[in-house]
Amino acid sequence: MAGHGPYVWASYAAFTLVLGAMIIAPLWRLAALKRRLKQRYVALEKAQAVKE
Amino acid sequence: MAWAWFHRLGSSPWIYRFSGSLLGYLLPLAMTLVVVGSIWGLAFSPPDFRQGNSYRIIYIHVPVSVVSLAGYYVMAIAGAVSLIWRLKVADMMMRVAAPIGAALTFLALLTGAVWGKPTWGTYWVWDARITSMVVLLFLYLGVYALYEAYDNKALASKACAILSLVGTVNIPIIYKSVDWWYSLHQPASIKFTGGSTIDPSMLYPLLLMIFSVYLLYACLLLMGLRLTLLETEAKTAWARKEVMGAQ
Repeated sequence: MAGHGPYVWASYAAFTLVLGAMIIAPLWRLAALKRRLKQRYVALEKAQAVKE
Repeated sequence: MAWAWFHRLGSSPWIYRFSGSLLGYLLPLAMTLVVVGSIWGLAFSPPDFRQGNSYRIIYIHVPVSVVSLAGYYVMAIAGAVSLIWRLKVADMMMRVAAPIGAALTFLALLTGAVWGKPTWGTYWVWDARITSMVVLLFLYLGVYALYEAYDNKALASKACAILSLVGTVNIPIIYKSVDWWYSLHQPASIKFTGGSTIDPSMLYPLLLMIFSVYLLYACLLLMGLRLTLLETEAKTAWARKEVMGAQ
């Protein structure tokens, strides 16, 4: 690339990293949130059953 | 009845389910188009007669810049809808759009700086275009920080909506900065009226990348919105049904 290769590759690497993180982060957070909520709901149901 | 479609947009479970099914198609499509556009720009478009191969940064820099500008209007319109119609979903959309827009603006500034070194001989110069883009970054970060600064979240939302709306004045300034002031940054290559100054062999992959980054932005908005919806409405029956039903 006539000496300009590192600039081009650096830009594409930054683009891939930032966009990759932006895609993965909410998917990971949603999965983690669903796991936490499920544990909470199951605990609530058990507490409800014990009360009854 | 005529406004039923609009009020459905305010229904959290409807938005959550509809965006979930939409993302199943849109996200793979957006990612595929970004990859195809990047490869086309990197490997198959010809080198520029003056800049050589360093111009290929255009296939990232221009799309993220364009979408960061458009994304500000998304945030501001969501803020306006939240202020006027008090739709919670619009408020969530505004809050989700801020960090996404900030990341894209940061990427635009970073790739612009990297492109500036071989082209202008410097990574940074305080010219009109770059300075106004820095202001855009601060506006995005400001909306995000302002929401976190308030304990009263209803008041926080109103303040963020007003800040978003006031900041819209910056977008035409950014767009016209290269025409209004003497700027190191080149003028627009893609024109809505008149011929573009860019060859079709370079223009088509650029248009594909712009379209695909727009699509990716829409996907990121929907993903963030789904997360915020579930977080905010975790105690509701529909959220419980979604989580327990997902297994």
